[in-house]
Amino acid sequence: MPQDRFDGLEQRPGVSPDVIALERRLYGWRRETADRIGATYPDPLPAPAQVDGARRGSEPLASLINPAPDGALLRDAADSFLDALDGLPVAQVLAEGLGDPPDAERLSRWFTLAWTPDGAELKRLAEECSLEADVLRWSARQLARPFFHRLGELLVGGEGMASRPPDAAGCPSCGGAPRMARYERDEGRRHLWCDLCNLQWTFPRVTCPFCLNRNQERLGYLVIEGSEQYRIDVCEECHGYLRAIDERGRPEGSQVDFPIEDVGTLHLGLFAEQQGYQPGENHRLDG
Amino acid sequence: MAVSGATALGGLLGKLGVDLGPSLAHAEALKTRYAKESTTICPYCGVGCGLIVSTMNRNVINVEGDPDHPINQGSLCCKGQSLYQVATSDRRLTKVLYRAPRSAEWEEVSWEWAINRIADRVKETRDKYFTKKDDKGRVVNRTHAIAALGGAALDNEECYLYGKLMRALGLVFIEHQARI
Repeated sequence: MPQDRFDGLEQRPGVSPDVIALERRLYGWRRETADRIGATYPDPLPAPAQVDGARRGSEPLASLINPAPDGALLRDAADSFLDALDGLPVAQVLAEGLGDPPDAERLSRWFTLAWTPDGAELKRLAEECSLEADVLRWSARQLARPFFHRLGELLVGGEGMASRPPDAAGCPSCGGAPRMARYERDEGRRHLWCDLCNLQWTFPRVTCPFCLNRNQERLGYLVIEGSEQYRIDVCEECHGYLRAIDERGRPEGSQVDFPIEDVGTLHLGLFAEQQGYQPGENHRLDG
Repeated sequence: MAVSGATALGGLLGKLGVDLGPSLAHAEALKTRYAKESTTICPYCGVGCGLIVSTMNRNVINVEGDPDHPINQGSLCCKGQSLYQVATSDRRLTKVLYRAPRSAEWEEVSWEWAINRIADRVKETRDKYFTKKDDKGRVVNRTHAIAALGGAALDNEECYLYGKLMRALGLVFIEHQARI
């Protein structure tokens, strides 16, 4: 995702310059961290059978291996992550709460929060660190992104896109809820995207990707007047929402850049939540 | 409708020190409409392609192939593709039209008149051209003067009744669009 694409974001209505500035920092940090990680993560590499199993959708890859990086690599990433946020209020809050530097055990727990749905552990660590739970989870996911991007690359390999059985919810790499979706141009298939792993996978339409509700009377979508290429898929059972891009409403040949669209359509998420819907990750967290 | 930052997303971004003003203002100006998608089967031939029909306030706004249906996987033939028009075209007939024999004009008639006229003509034709026995003296109880053509939109139960009625009348030329 070249830096110059951020300039296009600034022209889009409803996009906060602060959000763009934050994403620029995080993007730059992710690229540097990915370079530093190189081929050293994951260690050991998942066995071919494990990758194969996750590709076929039996279990997410992160539950078949231990996705935690080794102590030194994680510490290096955490230090540079906090440096990347330097100057923002959240940097000081995180450093004070987690410890500067955080000890190994706390680092490991912080990392694990990125992808496990253990709401009780999230509350525990948040209380120990005197941090807000949503800030703690957000920071954990940002810290983990370069590592899970690498897992996602291993999973997809040369095949372009992962898949999951229609009765399985969650990203094939981390098991997490999708953040956005796209409806492909040719046959209207729906592909979900995980922001943690930067991975797409095909998922049936007219099915809630969070609670697997298939009752068509309890599923719907919001059409955005004047921006028909965007829609918000909603489920009246779990009240989950998913921002989606319909490629059929876009010029021929245009590609969907999910990280950019994630920032560019934040206002749709705000709108959906004001309507009483909630993001998928909230549905997934237990405890 | 006012959109506030008092949402989970808004709350989180606020704690990160992000000014959400432009996003909130844009969200407040959004106009949306609620739509639904329903899966169904194409009413035409026996292939039975899957469809997704989008509706808004019970009006059809889109018809497309169902990409998850194992038979067509999102594709549709030209007839299936035009189903949207079947539901919404303003050229659909909404009144019964009748053209009398050797007339060049269509005239509007009532359903009651049309159904009674059809019944009268079936009876007249059957009475005039009914054959009890063929030229070899075998009992046949049939008429060759009437043919029937069923359509793919008939369901199984309707097809059963259609076949029963036509054979009871003595028809032999009984066809169905799905055979073509």
